[in-house]
Amino acid sequence: MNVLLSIEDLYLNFTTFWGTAYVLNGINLQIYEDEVFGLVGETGCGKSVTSMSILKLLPSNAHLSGKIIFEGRNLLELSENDMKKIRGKKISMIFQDPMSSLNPLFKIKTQMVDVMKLHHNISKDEALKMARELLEAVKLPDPQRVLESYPHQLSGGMRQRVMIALALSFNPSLLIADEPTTALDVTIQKQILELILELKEKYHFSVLLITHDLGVVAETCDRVGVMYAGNMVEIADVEELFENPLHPYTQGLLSAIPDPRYKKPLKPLRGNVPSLLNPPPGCRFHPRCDYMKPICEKEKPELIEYSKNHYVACHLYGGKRNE
Amino acid sequence: MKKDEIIKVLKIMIRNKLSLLGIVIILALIIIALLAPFIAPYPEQAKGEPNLEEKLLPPSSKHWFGTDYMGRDVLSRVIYGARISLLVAVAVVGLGLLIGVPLGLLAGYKGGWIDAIVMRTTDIFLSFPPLLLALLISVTLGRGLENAIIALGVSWWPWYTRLIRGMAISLKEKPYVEVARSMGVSSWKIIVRHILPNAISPVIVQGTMDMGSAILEASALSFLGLGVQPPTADWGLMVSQGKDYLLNYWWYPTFPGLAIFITVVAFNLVGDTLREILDPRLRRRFL
Amino acid sequence: MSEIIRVEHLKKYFLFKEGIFSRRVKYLKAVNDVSFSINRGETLALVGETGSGKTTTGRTILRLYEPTGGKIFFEGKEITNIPKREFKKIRVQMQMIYQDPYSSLNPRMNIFNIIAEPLRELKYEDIEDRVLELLESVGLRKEHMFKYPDEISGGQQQRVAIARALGVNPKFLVLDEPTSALDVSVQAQILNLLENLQKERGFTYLFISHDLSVVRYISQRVAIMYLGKIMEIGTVEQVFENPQHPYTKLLLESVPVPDPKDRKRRKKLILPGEIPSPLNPPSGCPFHTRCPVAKEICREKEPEYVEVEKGHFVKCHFPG
Repeated sequence: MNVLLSIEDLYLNFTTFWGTAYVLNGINLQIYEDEVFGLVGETGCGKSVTSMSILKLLPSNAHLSGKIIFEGRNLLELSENDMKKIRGKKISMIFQDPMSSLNPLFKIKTQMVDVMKLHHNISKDEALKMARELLEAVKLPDPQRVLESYPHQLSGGMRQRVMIALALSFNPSLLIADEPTTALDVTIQKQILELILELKEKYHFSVLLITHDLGVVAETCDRVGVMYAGNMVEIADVEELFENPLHPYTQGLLSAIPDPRYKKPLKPLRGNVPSLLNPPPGCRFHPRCDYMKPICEKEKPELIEYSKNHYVACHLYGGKRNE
Repeated sequence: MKKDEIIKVLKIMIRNKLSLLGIVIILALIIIALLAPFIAPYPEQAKGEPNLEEKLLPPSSKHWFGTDYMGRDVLSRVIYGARISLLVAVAVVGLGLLIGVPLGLLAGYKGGWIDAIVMRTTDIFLSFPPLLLALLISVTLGRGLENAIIALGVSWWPWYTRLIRGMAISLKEKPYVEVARSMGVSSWKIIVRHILPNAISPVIVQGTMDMGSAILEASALSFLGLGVQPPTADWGLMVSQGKDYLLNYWWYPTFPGLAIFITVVAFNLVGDTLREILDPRLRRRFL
Repeated sequence: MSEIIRVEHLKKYFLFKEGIFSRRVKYLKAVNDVSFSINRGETLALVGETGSGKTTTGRTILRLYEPTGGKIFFEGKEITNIPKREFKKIRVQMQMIYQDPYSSLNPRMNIFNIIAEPLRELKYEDIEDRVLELLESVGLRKEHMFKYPDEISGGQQQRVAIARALGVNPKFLVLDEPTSALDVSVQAQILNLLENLQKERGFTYLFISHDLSVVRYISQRVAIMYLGKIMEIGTVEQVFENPQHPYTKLLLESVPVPDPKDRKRRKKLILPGEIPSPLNPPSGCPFHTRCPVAKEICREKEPEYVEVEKGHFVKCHFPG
């Protein structure tokens, strides 16, 4: 399989009034062609800013270093003009709240046609036809009615479908979906997730799915990266990760979630997610870890390939890079 | 407000150049007002003693701001005027808050007929142009500083009532108020502990900004011959008396006018920044 | 087992004007003829999607909304229409825990004052001991006592809200999505805390949630709501393992399972369409517009409850 996107040693800091927040602390990850990669973690783990870093959509107080290689080019070195050719075209994104990306004052038709016309250099009629086809592709039951609607007249699920249609209009090679179903009901969540998977089969793009829900990961992803407080702590194939989690945080997370099939005892993780303004030294998870060793307080463990295609950053497994 | 929150707000305000300017000006005014007898070059003239040999002299090293038609030192009178202006600002806004805040809290939290009576009363007050109402009350009560303050305060409170009523209405739907009520906490305690502390921020902001307007309107009353009476040193009164001399003796109305202008701007700068800090939607840009 | 809460044919309608100038009004039937009872020490979960009326049901039982119709009983006494003054004494025994813990704590009060507020009957010296005791019973320590709500994490905020409720010795708690705003690792802490408190103190819970995994963990009985009506009610085992209503089946099918191996085993059953507007509910059975087994009769006639096994009721013409 070919690597589509590769993130290497990505660091991200925010300068704030209360000091520097160390938001990403050396992230490494690869997304292959034609796969669904899940990025999971809790609040403040850095999963969303990772995706914003890929598109370089960060506020001015952000300082980014490292490499993001996409189609052979380091995105961090590209100019804003070059980024515009990638953003929304080669890499598209959908968000938790589709309402924030749609203008409430214009009909869906106007908004879609404007985007198509601008970027595809086609006439209004062709753009309209294309918009209708896209809405059909995302299985909206009555495309004509949707085109004539204002965003607030559509339900959350329908709006998310419109956003997916817009995201697909340029045949992206990577679709970033940032908590795309968190605001939706479970039955609608299922519809949207199945739709994304079907479209992925049809149009052959990769998906970077950002979520806090391990159930969603288990149902949709091929590979998973687990993040904690700005670090990538574990990457593995989805079945391997759920069956044989290596990192104590991953293990903790898996034993803390309830299962809808039966009642199992829940073992919550101790404590809380640390503040990124003043993160713990060494391994950022050590204050909550049951297997803490002296080295964990001092040295940050590197992400190593512990077994084939199973990466972990933890001193229990060596923690030194063995390349 | 919590102590460290006040410190945080102060820190941000000092970091912001414009609000720092406002704070410095207001602090300077307070110091000037307190120390007026010591820093005014001619305190006696400021209190009204005529000095007819030096009538209408232009600014010089002896009289930095020149002298007025009675030969009194304009600088000394402007310095003494700061006392009146700050007193007016604090008293008018204080009176307005004293009447307006309790009524607004009661109307907003209790609703029903209390709300209806309070709101219709504010409607009556607000249907007058603000200065006109103050003018009417002032005329009825008679001249003088105290009466001007009462007139302005009484015409001012409905604004605070409306503001705090709106806050109280939205706050009483908050879960923590719901919980307090369900646990049998009395209405009075809910208003004092839960509604007031959470509703007061926008009122503080409005009050700060209004201090500038209060000075302006008190000056207007003085200008019209109501308010402060001569020979008291008051900025508005000085502008009023000096306006006839503007063409030939520009310094006479200009310096007190400038003092009014600077003070009003200072209060607005501080109020504006306070609003941005205390408004959670605008707060983010400071984070 | 004794009953602590019973609702009979509970209705809550909200009035809506059709337009600014129109005199015609519409009813939003948020809760439309709901009946159930909860036994002492039991947890009943109310499950449903957005607009199912689950939260409105909880709030109406506490009379945070005045019921439009039906009856509410608390410990055998009808409380539907009793005067406010009399209700106040009963209301203290029924407390609510909110979805967003931060909004249920006054941001201008410290934790000590928040928890101490309802403890009026105690002497001042005793209050501190009592607050500390309450903090400890929810797993917080003395050092949290003088912090403010925005200085502690969401999980700790929820613990404070629970400690405050414990202070008035309630018998019945309405938990309105108490963990859905929290991170998964913290969610488990709160669920375990709620479960332990129930065991120690014999609390009765009405647990409102959209998350079926959490419901499976915390509750003994579950009621599935759809457009203001209970479609199926029974013990957790009955409903989860032997769902009878087509809606329950599809809902359960939609819940993501945290086990990738399960993915291949499961049929790809998707519940089509979306929940209709409660302002314009379908005729007959409210679910017939999305139901895969709907027939003519479902459009015309609202089904009655059928008891498929003991204590397991389904509102469907064709259960099973």
